[in-house]
Amino acid sequence: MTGSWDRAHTPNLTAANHTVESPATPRYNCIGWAAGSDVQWWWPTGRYYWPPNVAREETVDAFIRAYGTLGYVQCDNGAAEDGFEKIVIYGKAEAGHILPTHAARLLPNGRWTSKLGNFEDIEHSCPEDLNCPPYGKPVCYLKRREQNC
Amino acid sequence: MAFADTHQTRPHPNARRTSGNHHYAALAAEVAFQCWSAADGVVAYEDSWRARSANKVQVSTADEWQRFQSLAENWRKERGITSSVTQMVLCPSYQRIMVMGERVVPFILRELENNRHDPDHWFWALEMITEADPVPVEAYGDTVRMADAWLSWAEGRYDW
Repeated sequence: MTGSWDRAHTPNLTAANHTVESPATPRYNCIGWAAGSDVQWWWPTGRYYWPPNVAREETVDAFIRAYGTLGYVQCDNGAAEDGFEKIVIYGKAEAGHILPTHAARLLPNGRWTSKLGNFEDIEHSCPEDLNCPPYGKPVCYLKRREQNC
Repeated sequence: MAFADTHQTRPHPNARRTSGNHHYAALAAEVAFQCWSAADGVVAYEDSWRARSANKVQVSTADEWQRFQSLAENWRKERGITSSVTQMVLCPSYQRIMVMGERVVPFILRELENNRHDPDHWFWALEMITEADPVPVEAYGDTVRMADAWLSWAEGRYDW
């Protein structure tokens, strides 16, 4: 499968470090996909999904709290740990604060899965593969105990 | 030309509109102001368009349909790989579409209907232009249900 996004946006993705895993769709985004949904666009503005009782604001803290509703807590890094699932939140500096931009989820196979905006979702080797101007870089890691469902 | 039924097809603001509970309320107000200001500048054209729309004859919209299609195509390039709704709606082409005002609503509705199983993010523009808010809270983020809600709301209000 071939990705349809402009590769100029993702200069660190190479043929060797990622694979395209889905068709392009505006149905869900990276934030929802990292949370496990392929039918919801998560974002704190507009009439989009955001967990109840979490501030609808574009801050890293609000994104951490959003994933907190699913049992995630902050952790030090994205290294695989037995019995835990992990998410990484990306952000970039803008107007004096860190603007959350993207999220990816660690797969059991040790790779990461990311939905690229309205485009495809991909598997990539490590979070830094998606360091790029639109997303910035990883700013926070989260983990929760493996869900058995 | 008869403009007697000018206001018969104007959609009414939906009473369910919620107060801006996020920090983009100011942006929304500004965009809405720009849309309505632009619309005010072309009242005569819109009156004519509405009169024809009321008779269910869609004419003189080919150029605007072309412009809408062109802007939509540009918007999909401009937004790139962002997941941010804020970034998407602030793209220049999306802003230009919103500034087209109420005349663009039938085009957006057509887009939603033609892509009903994979609708694009036209919801912000619809909300700003029409001042309606028909999406129930339980459908937030489910773009298929959001599109359904808008198309149901538009029945009888617009021809597309």
